[in-house]
Amino acid sequence: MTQTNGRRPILRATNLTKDLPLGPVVVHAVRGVDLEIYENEMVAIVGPSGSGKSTLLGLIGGLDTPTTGRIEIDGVDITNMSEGRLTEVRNEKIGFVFQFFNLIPTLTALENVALPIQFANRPKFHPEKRARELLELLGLGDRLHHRPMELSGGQQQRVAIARALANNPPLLLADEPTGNLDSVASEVVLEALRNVWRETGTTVVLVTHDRDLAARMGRVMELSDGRIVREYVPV
Amino acid sequence: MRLLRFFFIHSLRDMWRNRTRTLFALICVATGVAAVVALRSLAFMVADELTSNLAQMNRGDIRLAATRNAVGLVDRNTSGWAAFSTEAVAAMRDWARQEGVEITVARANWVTSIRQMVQGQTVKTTAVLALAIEPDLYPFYDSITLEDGRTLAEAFAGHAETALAARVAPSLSAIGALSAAPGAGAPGLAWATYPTYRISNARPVVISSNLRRESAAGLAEGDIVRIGASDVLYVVTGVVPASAESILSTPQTALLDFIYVPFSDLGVLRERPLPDQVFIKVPLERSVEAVDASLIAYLESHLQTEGDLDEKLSRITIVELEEENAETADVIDDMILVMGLSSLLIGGIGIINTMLVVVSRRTLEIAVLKTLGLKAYRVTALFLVEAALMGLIGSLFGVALGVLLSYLVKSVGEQAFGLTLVWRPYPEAMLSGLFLGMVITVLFGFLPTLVAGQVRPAIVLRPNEAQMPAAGLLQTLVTLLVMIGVLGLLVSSIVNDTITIDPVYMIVGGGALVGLFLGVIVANLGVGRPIPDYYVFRLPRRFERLENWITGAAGGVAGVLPVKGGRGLERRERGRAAITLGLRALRQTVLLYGALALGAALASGVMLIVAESWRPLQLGETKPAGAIWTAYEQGAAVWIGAWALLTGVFGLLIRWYGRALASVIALGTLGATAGGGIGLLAGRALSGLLDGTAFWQTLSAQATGIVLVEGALALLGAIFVGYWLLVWAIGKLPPVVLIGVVSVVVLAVVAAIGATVAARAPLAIAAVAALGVFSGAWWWQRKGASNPLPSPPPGWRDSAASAGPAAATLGTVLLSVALVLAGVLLAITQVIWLRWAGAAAGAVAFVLLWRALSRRFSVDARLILREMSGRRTRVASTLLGLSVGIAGLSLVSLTTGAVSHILEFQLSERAEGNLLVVTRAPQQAAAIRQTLDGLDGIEHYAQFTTYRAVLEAVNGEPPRFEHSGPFNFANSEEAEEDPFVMILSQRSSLEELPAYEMASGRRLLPSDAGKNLIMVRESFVTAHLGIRAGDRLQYRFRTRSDPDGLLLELEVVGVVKAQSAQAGFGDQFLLPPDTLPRTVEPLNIVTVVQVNEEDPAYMDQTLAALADVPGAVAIELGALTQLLKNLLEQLNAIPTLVAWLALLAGTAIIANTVALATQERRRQIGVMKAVGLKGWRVLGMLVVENGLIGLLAGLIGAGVGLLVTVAVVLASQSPEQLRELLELSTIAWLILLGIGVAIGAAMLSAWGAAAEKPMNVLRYE
Ligand SMILES: Nc1ncnc2c1ncn2[C@@H]1O[C@H](COP(=O)(O)OP(=O)(O)O)[C@@H](O)[C@H]1O
Ligand SMILES: [Mg+2]
Repeated sequence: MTQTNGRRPILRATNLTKDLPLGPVVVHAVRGVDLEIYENEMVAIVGPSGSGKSTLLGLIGGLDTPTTGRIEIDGVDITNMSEGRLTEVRNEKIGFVFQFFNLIPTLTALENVALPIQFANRPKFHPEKRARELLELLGLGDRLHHRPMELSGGQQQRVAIARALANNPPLLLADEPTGNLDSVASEVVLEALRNVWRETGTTVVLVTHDRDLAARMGRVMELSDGRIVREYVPV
Repeated sequence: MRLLRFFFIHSLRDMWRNRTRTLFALICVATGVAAVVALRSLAFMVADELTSNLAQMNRGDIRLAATRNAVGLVDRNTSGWAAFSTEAVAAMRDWARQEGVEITVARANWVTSIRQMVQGQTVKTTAVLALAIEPDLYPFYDSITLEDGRTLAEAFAGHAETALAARVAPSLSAIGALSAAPGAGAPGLAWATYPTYRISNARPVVISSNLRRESAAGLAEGDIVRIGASDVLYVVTGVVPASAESILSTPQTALLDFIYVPFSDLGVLRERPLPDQVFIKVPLERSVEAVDASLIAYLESHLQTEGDLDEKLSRITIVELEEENAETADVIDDMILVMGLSSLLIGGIGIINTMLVVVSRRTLEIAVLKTLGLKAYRVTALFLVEAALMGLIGSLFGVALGVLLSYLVKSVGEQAFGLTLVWRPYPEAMLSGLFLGMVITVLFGFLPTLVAGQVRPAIVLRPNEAQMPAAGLLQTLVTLLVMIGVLGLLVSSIVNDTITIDPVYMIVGGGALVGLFLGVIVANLGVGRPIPDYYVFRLPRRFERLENWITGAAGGVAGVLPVKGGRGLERRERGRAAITLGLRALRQTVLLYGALALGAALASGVMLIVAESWRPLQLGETKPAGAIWTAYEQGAAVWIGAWALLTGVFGLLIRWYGRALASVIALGTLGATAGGGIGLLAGRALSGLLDGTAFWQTLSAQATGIVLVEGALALLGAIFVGYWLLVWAIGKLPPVVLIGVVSVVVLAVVAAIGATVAARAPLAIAAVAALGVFSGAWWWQRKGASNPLPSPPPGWRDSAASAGPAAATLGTVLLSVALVLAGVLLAITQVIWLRWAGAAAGAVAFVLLWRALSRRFSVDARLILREMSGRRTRVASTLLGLSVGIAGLSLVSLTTGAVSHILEFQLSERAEGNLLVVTRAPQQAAAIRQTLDGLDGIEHYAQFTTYRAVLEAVNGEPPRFEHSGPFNFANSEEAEEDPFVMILSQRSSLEELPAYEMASGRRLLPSDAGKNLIMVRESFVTAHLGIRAGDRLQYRFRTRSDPDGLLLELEVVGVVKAQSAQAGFGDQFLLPPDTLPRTVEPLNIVTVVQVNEEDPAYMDQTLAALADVPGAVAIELGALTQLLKNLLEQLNAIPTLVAWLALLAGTAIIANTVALATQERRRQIGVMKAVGLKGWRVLGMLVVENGLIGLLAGLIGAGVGLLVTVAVVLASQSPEQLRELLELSTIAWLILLGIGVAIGAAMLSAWGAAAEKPMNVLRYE
């Protein structure tokens, strides 16, 4: 199961579980997930609200540590990494897109996008140049110096995508990226994601509760009660 | 009721859920309340001390003091001091016998010297206050106990030798100082070892414990001493604690250490046996007033008195003392309470900040509640309940803390008031703290809760855009007016009648406030059109070549600077960016200045119009038309014209490119001025109409407090706006500047530590060497480090522009630290070129550090700056809170430092000598001259005589002090009737006068001797009297022969500039020699002596010789300086305490602000960590951000102190003196204190924030 179509797995998780304390009880948010995601794939993780999607995404994105199991990103085992090393991995290997955009309100679009490059230990790009290019790629060339407040939801999300791509990470994780947008803006953002996927060759993992949306991805994994219950390639 | 319960539960739950935030808010309230409780308790302790033990303090039920007014009772032949005559004392004793009361006499004003004798030689001479008392009677209440438990009477009982032998001899024999005992029983006699003197001559004396200190007289029980000029030997038979005489019982003891001698010894001591104090003890069952009246009646009938003796005889009965002390205690209480309030107000800022955050965090909840039907005022009530609960809990904590604190501040009070205080909890202090804490929290929490009521329910629909609504301006205005009213009433009740202010000013303040809000409202209606936030420098197509040339050149320059933003960009692009930045900054400055100028110009225009319209409106005869115009006079009109023109231009600019901020400032200022002007007119009209009515009187009674609150608010508002603009401007700075500042601070701290350590040179050198090698290693490692990442993309210049590995940055940091340390080591050498090399090393270190940090941390710096300017309101209020404390500390410490330096300087360098000899009678002055002339080691001396004189006329007119301004101090009317008493001095010779700088006229010359001239020095007094050269001043002098004294007219020959050099003592009003007739009675005669300092024996010998001159007191200047310094410290004890308490409150605010900010930023921090920011950098950012606030507060606070100190120094000293008088290290310490406090407080809550889990970004509340 290590190789499919001769492609290299960019993300491999085995037997992931996550228990969360909730007062006196323990919530088993993720209960034994195995998954493998390959280079330049576009994968959707779909499931109803509360099924553990965000928790799973947090684990594979190195935002949280699993209770048990093992995670490998781009061949590197991150399971037992220190918080400091994890931060570096997130910076270099992973781009995040969130439901509520999570842009830094005091920074302009350009500065927001440049941020991950500037946080890098050893920057790979010229921050402003790269940010400008990415924003232009996402059709925001005329919004470089606007603050998040001055942008629409769809535009904010595109800025967030540009930021996720800043360090040219091999893996892009998106948690309900259209969850907070109207249908037109959702369409634009989705199109932007597909564009990015096509042009940069980044692997995209998209989490959503929307089956129709998931059906537009290359591969779909269905999550229910913290377990992957189905995996299929939509037609 | 149900609703209220819901409110309570809801609030408590919210507070518990946000424990951290609540805790820090509580700390803010608690520190403020604690300050109030502690200070108030201190005031009560003082009051207790003042109002209890009155009879003990008064040393009797009635205390008479001899003054010259009591004609017929005082001896006519004492020179310079007043004493009761022998007949008067006899009469009093007769009366006492007849009346059945007890009486005792004392002399408490005799300053003399005490000499320690060893082997017949004087070893040490010290100036002391000799209290001549009747040991068996003094004091009437509560006997004075010696350190060993004996009473004063016992110490003087019997013969000195028997009294002492049993006590001292054993201890002396123990140290082998005694020969075998000649007498039976007693082991030996200490004084038997002194061959010259016989013990049987010695008389007992009791000394204060202070005299035992080596720095004072160094006396011990058993020592043989001589007192004054008498050659009778005394032996110290007892030591009383210095507290036996307090500032309340004998005020003189605050200045000089005292000894007790029996009153009956005065004759032996060659002093006239006359008392200046008489104490009377009234039996319990008798009324003190009746006894007092009987005494006056008796004296009037038995002695030849003049006038109303009841009025003229100075005396204090315990009844009066009680009233007086109660009043004093009240004043102290008020003063201290007002000071404590400042801390509480600072704490209030914390509440405002917290409530604002509470509201902003809960906008969604409020919106939901509102859609469910909760009315706006109920929403406000809901939050007010929360504020009140926080106030209550915080105040309760504060009270507990305050009671503990009051125990700690007790010693400060003891130092400040020179009293021994008894600590106990004071319920009234606790209640007032609780009450004030509640009032302030509710008042301060009200504005933010008003905001809560304004939340629009519609935001439920777009929850992620939940924003803080702005409170309606009108509501805010009303709230402010109510707040002013409430606080004003509070203040009114505190200040009572100490000050009264015309109610017109209250209306002026109200008008200004209303005007300000109207102006802001108009500005918000949208004057001017905003221009886009970003703008890029670009010339029209036609000028492309010119543009290329300009951008190219600018790019070249920008490339040299360590500005990260431009690196890697093409040169012209970089140039364009730099020019754009510059132009933007210029525009901001222009707009801001323009706004301020416009506001000010419009304001002065309104003032002018108001001033002109006075008269036509018949509103104030006191101000003639054009009053303000004439004040401007003399060329000022030109300036105003120019300003108006400039303002016109800027006005147009603002009109076209105006930012909201600029128009708010301009219109706000205009509105405030216009409102104030209208208020003035209206107020005057009202006062004209209503004066005398009951309504106006009630208004007047409350106006003072309200005007004070308005004034304080205006001041705070102005400072706040200033801080707000400052933070705004700082937010616009390029990040490299911030990094530069951080680099400077870090290196300065390193250098300071280095300089301190450098005292242990070998260690430091070793450390520097090790550090240097170490960092060099890092440095090299950087070069050799392999680059694990793919080669950078094209257009991306290599390592010069990239940050490089973290190790390299660390290496550079270490290297620069090592360089600075090396620089410090070089700089502390005496070799000048090495010093320069040290400075160069420091500069290189700075550039290195700056560049290294700029490369790696410019994002962090940008985030910090944006964060600050994004929260400028809160940052400004935090800054306000913190800077108040530091400003207080700097004011106290810097001015004290400068003043004590000035004192030292005046006394030691300008006094023309190192020894002062004070006498009262002219014959003694001659004796002193004789003594000095016969001594070795006297380098030179000068004598001058001071006179007390009443200024009766200036150019024939009675002197008048101008009173102006709105303040009317309650007792100023009495003060005006007081005669103008001045101390004039006359030098024995005018030869050695310094080269005075004259403001007008000429200096006194030796040839002026005998002429009726006077030279004055500029001062507050001369300025108010308007004295100039050529004026004729009429003085009345006291003479021995004529009870009316002598009236003499003196012409002002010249006025010396205040800053001009000074000649020793008293050249404030200087007379030429021989001007006054011999009959004029001098106050005292001061001889300033320069004794050779090479051999201390000269000083000892001189002191001993001068002690032989009866009535002369010699004081070494060093001792005097120390005395004054101690006094200064005593005066400063309470202000210092208050400043520390305010700083404590400021610290609480910082901690609170950081707690709030990190809580608000949790998500943001999570996001940044998710995209790759490490925890320590988050922490670093929080630390630098708050360190910057601390640095600003420190700079501003220290700056305030510095400015005031400079003003104080320049008022009396020449500018060259400044450098010596300012304590630069204190300034540095204050700034460091600011940074330290801010960082320390920030750390309290920053740890948690830095450890924020990035997972939280995936969760939504
Ligand atoms: N911090 C937490 N503490 C306790 N339980 C949590 C926490 N976060 C999420 N959960 C629980 O974990 C489960 C999965 O949550 P989540 O991953 O957010 O689901 P999804 O993103 O699919 O809606 C839910 O049942 C939720 O209640
Ligand atoms: Mg989710």
